Amino acid sequence: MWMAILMVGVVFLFLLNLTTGSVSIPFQGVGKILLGWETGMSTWENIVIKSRLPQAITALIAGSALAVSGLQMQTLFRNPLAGPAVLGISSGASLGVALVLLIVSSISGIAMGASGALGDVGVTIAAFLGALGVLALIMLAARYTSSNTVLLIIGIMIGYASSSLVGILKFYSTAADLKSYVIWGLGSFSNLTLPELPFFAVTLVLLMLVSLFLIKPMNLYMLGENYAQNLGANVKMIRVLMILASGFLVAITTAFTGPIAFLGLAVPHITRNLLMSSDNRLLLPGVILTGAAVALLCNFIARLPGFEGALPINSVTSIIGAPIVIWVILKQKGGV
Amino acid sequence: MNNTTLQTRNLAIGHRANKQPQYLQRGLHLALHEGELNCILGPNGAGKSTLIKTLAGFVEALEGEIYLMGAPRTERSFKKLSHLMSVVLTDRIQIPHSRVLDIVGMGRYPYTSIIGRFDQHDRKIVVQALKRVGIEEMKHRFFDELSDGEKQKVMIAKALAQDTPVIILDEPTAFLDFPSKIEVMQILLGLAKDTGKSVLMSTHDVELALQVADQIWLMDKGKELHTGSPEDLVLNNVLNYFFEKDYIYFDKYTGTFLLKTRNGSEIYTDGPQPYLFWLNKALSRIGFNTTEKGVGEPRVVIKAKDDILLLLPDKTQTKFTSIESLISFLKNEV
Repeated sequence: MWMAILMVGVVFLFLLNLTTGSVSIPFQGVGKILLGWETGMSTWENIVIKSRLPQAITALIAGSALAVSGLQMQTLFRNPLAGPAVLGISSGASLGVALVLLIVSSISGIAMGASGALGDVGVTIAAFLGALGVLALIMLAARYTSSNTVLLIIGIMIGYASSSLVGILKFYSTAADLKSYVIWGLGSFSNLTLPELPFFAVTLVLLMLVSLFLIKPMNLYMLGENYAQNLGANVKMIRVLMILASGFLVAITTAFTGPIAFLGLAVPHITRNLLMSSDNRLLLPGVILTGAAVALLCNFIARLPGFEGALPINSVTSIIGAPIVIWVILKQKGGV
Repeated sequence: MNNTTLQTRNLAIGHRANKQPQYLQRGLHLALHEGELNCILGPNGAGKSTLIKTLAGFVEALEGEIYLMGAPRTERSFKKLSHLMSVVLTDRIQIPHSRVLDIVGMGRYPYTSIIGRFDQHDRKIVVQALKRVGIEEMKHRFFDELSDGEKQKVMIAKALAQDTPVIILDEPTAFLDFPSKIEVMQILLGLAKDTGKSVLMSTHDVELALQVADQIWLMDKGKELHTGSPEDLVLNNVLNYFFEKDYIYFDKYTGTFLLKTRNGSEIYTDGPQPYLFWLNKALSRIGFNTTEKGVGEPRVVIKAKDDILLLLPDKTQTKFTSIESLISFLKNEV
């Protein structure tokens, strides 16, 4: 029942994202453009195909990916406050970007943020490498400790360490570089160009498909590692797979969109309360749909006429996400 | 003797500190048989949990081998093991919106495909497990909202749904009120007898365990592990060897733990049961060693609950109408 509503919601929000913006395009117009019919309005076509469509697709996929990653982290750590950020992977991406934007540019004398397409690709690659670096560290740590609590603390510590490194870099950088870093840090679904989109979409969708195979062990994992092992799960392998899947989902998403806060943390809670279930057979598809819906909604709000360009997506997700997290904590029976 | 389900050969349990083995027990040759209820008894820190976790494969054995249905467990896959042994642990379970049926259903996961779809057979076994522990009517309730005793029964039902020849439980009666303790013990005893499973549980409820267990494993730090039927362990004083403290001992005659008397004065008692039993209990509580054999003074004769006579060496007699008044009189005298 809720699944159907969610699906309709995603489609509706997707179309809403195509029609709204500083230039309002009616539904029929969008429909014609999507079907490849003539509208006689080449500006509309340009706006929809080159700007709004990639942005809506990015929001749809990024929202799902972050939500799946958050669900995996909450399952792995059996902690309602875990999210895609707990392993420090998005902080690693930030550090990578900071290194490129703030150091490379001051050495070479070229402001990366101002160097156009080449700069954008450089930033994406830097973010991805930064995220992978942290993921590698986490995997190394996971080899040495079997305790998930220790792993959680290591992840959070890596996050702090990268933030303070970024702080030092910021302190010594020029105002122009700083501004481009800050803008990246606010996140955006509009960074992706049409040619980059297939790579982004295919890798993330594949990772989400892989996650479907983790549904059963994820259900068992909720009972704790001992019970899960006794019920036939290879917990060591499942743990590694969950960290890898979740880590790559965050790494790729963050590389292209910048850090998107709260979405991955809040969406699993919304979905659990909508579906009244913790069963991942229901929850995982639910989280994919809700993640897409929430990301599209946030993108829609950020681009409402009047806000155009003024509201960064990261602020919108946080403003929506923070009350949800508070609500979850207050509602939780028997404490967190 | 029934068929052996689980067996250990030269098993050593404990943990490693800086790669050096720290032994709790070594050279264990233990066995579980079909249709038997086994209880592990021992004080806190004796290593009961470590033994259970080692047998269940959560903690590595330091030495030796564990055989499950004839083959070493180290040679079996996780999947195969999940068909042979189920566990009920002390781990706290907190899954939001999870219902009793969901948790018991997890016991069927080892038998389902990669997406975890249940067929008719799986559903039937889950219902049977719920019925067996008497929680069928609460199958749609949220797990969070159950009492500790009910939660324990759900976990036992989960283990049952797993349909394994061996079930191992770590302190299933801990934190339960007394009637729930008895109920859980009854369920486990019935399971062993009716379904032929081997049930192994650790517990601190020694007196209950002595009543229901086919075999007791007694363990403590620095003492050799003893096994045997409860009666043998009582009669050859092994139980007292494990549990005797400065202030408590296991009384062979009543099958209960008693406080050691402090003043050690002798007193003769006489009268019909059950009055005599409770009179003795009251007297030993305030420090008398009661004896029912022979005649002498001081002596208490109880004929009914309100007819108690105290005879003292100076030939004086005092009548009491309740045990309480007798006790308060003796307390002032001593």
